[in-house]
Amino acid sequence: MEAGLRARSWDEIRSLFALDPDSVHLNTGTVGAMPHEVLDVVDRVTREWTGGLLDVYPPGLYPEHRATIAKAYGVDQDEMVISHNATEGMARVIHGLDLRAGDEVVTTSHECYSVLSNLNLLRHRHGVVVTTITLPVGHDVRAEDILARFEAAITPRTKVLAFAGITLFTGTMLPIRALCELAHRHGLTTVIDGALMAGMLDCDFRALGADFISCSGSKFQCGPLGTGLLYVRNKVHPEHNPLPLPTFWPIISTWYPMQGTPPPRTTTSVESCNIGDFLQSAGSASIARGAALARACELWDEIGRDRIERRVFELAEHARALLTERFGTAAMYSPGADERLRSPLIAFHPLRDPADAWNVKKIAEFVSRLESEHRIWTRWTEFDVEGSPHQHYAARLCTHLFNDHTEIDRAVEVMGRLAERMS
Amino acid sequence: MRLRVKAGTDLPEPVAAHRHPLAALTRLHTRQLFTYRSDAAPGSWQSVAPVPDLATAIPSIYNAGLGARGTSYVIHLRRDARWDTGRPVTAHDVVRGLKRLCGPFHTSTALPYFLSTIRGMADYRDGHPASLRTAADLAEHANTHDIAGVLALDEHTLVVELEHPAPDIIDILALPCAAPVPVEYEAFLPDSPEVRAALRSTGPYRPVGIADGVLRFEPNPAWSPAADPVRGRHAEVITATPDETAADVDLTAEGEARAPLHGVQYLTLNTGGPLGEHTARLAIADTLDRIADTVIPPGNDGHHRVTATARGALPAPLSLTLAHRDTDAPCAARVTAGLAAVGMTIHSRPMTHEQHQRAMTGDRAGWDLLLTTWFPDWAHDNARVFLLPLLLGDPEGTALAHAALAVQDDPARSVPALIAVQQHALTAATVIPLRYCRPPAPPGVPVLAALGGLPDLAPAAAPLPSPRLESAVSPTSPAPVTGTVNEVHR
Repeated sequence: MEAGLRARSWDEIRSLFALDPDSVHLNTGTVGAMPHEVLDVVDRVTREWTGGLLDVYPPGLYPEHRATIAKAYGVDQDEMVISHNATEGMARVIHGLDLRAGDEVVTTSHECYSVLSNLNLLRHRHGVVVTTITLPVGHDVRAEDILARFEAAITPRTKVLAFAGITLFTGTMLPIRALCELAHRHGLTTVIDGALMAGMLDCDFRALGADFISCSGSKFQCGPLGTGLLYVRNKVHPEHNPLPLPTFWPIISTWYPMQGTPPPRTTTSVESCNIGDFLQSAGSASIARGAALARACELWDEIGRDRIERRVFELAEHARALLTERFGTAAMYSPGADERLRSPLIAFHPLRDPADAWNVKKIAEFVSRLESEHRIWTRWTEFDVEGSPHQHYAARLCTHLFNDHTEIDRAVEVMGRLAERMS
Repeated sequence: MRLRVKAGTDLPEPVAAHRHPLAALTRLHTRQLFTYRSDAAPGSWQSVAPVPDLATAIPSIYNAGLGARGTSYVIHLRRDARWDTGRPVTAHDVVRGLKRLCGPFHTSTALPYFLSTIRGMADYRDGHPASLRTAADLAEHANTHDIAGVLALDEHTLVVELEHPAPDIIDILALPCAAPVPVEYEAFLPDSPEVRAALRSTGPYRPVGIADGVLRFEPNPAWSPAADPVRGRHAEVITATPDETAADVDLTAEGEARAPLHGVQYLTLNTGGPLGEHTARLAIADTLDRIADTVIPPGNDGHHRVTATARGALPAPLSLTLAHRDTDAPCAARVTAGLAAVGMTIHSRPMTHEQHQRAMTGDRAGWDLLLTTWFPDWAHDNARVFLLPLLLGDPEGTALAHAALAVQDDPARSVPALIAVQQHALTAATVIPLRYCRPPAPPGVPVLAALGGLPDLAPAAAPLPSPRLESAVSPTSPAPVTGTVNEVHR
């Protein structure tokens, strides 16, 4: 079946996944559904490597898997690391940067808490200044609004822009390339939380122009829990990012030299060291975990990442149109008017009273009843809104390749009826 | 169990319990959203870490109880906690308690902590019309006005919004004066004799009255150990009187200090009288033989040595009134002797707790120098505990303190701001630190280290689980709103 996946219908592709047939999975932003084949790899490889006397360390560097995955994202093996999750990747990047007291990092309050937590640690440990902007929300937000906020926050002491490619709270696709170009103009390092990007976007990491992108392997990429991808720029391609490589310390490493130093970082398109190996070598590793993530990535390549992206976004636009029709544009926290900011994660306020947007009990009950009464899996998110003293809460749905129009139609219909009852 | 207590038997309403001589008894019958454990080793982190009391958990990022901006807390209440009337303790009772704390008829020494943190609480306090006279007036006002940043979402869920991130807000809400208030109290003015005679209980005991000068506690029939993870009930009846000669526990006895943090003994200088002269205040600061030279004592958050180089001279021989509590009489005598030696005339004015409490909360009549001993109310991020009470009579200092506390969560800005406010205080000489001290605790009694070494008369029946496990990350802790998993672990 694999050889012909690109030509298979979406119904056939849906059958690849270990989905509960009675449930509607609209929460890939939290965790995706693994293909049966990926599950089988986890099981098989775990058994192969259990109880033997084989040398477990070389395969734990995943050289072939990293090469395969790197190719899918337009980069090289030395720039790709299989990590445990996006959080681990972000932490290793944040703490590996050569930041000193007084250096500034610009980020947003809509980042995953694990990112903000690590930045706060930097603040306390090294005296780094963290400037946090609040992203605009709502249907009418435009990319220029976001760029302007970042640009206004940059000072002569700014060293890093750290932001989510797609925010988990409102599903805003940040203007990644434009933000990276902004960083290039100011000589800044770019750190992207790409937890939601891998498996959703058919993207060339190098062309985005970032220095670091940390992704989840278990969300849109549908690999096992406990997997992630970390891209570390390790060569200079001026057409994508003209800046020199940033000083970077690969913390947690077995293969960082025990005497002397690694060669100076390259200034050309040829790498001077395998920074990926430094990061990948961190003691024993789950060989099965890497193999299973690699298989998930291979399946994506076989289906066609361009095709997947189109499918995911087409379903999202279908859902967005239904939600907007049902609840109105004023209810939408996710951008809609500016196509550049749309993602397959859509956050909205389902209830009639706007004040219920800061009533966590009601929003949580809405999501909980979708699950318990209708077996529709979504989630609620929480975030701050510029100018509001309240923490806002929203219902959020995500579309992915295994969803279809019929279940989205049904889900939105159920949401509308439930919201009516709860309002 | 028979207790010998420090002063009187007139048990305060919890809203007035802060620094009250009988504050330790409050814990017998009153619970708060959060509290502290008394079974942890003195000086350990467990002894000063807040734990859930009426709340099901400490709100945090991990249980969706705290947002990234750090200004919105969602607090879930236990569903099995009850008043001694049998009625459940609700979020509305907590809101009623916070409103009552703002009322014009009693001002708690802890009130500045709340006003400086909770959004809209200062506006609510200021919004009381001068025409309020009766308990009915106060209840009417409370029931028709809201604190903007305190929302009861339902019977068991509360949202508390802050003006700025305040890492000490959980400790503030753990103070006994933040206890919930039952609807029955609306018939009484705060801490009035009438309400003291009709106190309701959420704790293991309930006060049942005073007979022959003895305050008596009996078991609260609506309390259950299963619903109270912190307290125990080891005696059937507890009696308390200052005259107890055969006490099982003597709360007047002063043993070794077991609270880990230093407090400070200090003078507040009333600038409304002769000490309006800056040089006179500086001269007093120069004259006194003192050990302490910082507003915030060592070991507490924000302690920084600052240099106050200004020197003063007495413009003329002064005659001043030094007010103090009985318990501070020895220190008052030393201050009097020191100032008399340079030609000042000092009139000593002993004060009752109530008089001293009014002086600390703005009553400037009848004293030039106010002697106070102040211990921290909590252990971490506790600069607020010193800056606000100590600088209460200094508007410029208070403004600087508010500015410093507003950036408390940003070390790059808070450190210079904390230094600036203390530099101001010592240069202006509106407050003179005299010596650092730790609260002596009665021998043999567990203490709540985070509450200034307050004795705990209802120690836990069984060791508590780790506060961290219980409050922050346990997936099994009650979390009725979490219909889905947070994406914090990826």
